[in-house]
Amino acid sequence: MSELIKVGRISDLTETDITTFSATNGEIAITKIGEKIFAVENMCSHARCKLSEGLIEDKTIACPCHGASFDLHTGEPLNPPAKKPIKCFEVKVEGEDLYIKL
Amino acid sequence: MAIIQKRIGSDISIEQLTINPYPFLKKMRNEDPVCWVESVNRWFITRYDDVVYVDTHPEIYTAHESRSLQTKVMGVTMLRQDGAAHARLRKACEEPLKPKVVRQRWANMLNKTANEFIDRFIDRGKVELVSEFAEPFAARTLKMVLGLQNATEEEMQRWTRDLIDGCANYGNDPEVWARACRSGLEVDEAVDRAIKRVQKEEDGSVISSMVHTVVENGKMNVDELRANVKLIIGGGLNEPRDGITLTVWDLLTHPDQMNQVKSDPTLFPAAVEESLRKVAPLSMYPREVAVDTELRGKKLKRGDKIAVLVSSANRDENQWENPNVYNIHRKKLKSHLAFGTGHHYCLGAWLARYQLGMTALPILFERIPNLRLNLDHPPQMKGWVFRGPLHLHLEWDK
Repeated sequence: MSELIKVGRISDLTETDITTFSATNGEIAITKIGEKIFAVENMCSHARCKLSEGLIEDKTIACPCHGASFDLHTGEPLNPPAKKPIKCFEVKVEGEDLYIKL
Repeated sequence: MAIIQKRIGSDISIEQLTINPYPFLKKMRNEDPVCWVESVNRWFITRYDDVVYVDTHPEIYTAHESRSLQTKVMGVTMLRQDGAAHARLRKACEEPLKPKVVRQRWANMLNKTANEFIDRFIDRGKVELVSEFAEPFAARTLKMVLGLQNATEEEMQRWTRDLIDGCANYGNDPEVWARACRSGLEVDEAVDRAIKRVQKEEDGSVISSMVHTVVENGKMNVDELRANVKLIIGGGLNEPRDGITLTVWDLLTHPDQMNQVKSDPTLFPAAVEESLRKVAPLSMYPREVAVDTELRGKKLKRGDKIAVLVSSANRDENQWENPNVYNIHRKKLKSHLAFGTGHHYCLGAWLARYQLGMTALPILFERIPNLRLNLDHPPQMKGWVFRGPLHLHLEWDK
């Protein structure tokens, strides 16, 4: 059953920077682009590198290791070598507090 | 009367490929995508999907080539290893080249270097961009990132040329071996001086990372360090140089798109990606068949040599609409293979992207907004393994 977990405050996030949060089943990478907040699993589906060491570009997150990019909306891989998607998490904002649905 | 159809790869010469490989590659993609080319003694892999497959299956197509000239010239580099041996060497080098580190650690140096070289010619009203900007910019920034601060740009350029010529010396020219050997020894001396310096104090450079990063089976030894610095010198100068000049050429010959980019400099990275797609500065890299296999109906035997044609994959009609056309608004711009894919993905890709799309090109076009081609000296493009303008003469109103 999914649950809402508080991961921090909106003010913790910097535009297009990547913040990480440790959940029970792995790390989550969170980023803010304008008014939109995205949360994805912090692991590339290709070689299991940390996406938090990569870059946010045009609503995609690029893995630092071998250049795979993923759509932040859907988790879909946009170029090789990644073939499998990464997990995306629903984000909820209540006031200044940020929640993720696990 | 029987009509004997000539096999595509039977009479393509290296000279023809060097002048313009694209018509031959298109024919191969369409008619014989895994094609034995006799003049090169390799199977040409020309379709995008097959290049991705080869790059992501090192157990079948190994980078560990037998009788590798690169290994002969440079020593055992990460580029000619697979698996754990490759991962170990790559891990020792990677920290200074990660995307966030490039922005935080090297951005100021890159900006300062671009401006310094432009200062030297901006009042003249004309420039030969390869020798006066692209090459020295690539040389200076590489030496700083590597940690060879005391090398001159001329030394870096000579070392690159001599080492790469050695790696391609299939003609066994003794003069080429002599140059490669001499430059190799000079690089070793420069590396040894750098090692002594960074052993006392880390400086965030690639050599510093190589010296201090603990990896499997201990840290890199001196021979590994020297070999992989030679690899980075060989692979990290010509490509950014050609990436700069190719993008300038593309923008100046596509004025509508150039005006869009000048009005919105956030489009420079897209312009760079599209230029790298259209003409990959590193157009071909080798592999060797590790186990008997079959690809597109061709039986490939263990030991067969492969040529992975990134330049062809990047123009595959199955992947891109109108692939010969320069279009910075394509979807999935970064799905090109100019940096390779899989575990040998270019370690310097993030540095190159920042050098070109965030530094050299935006600064050049900002400081010289009315840049144009000097048509008295039209550029000449050459190469099928490496490809880029030999020279690029530009002018502007002073």
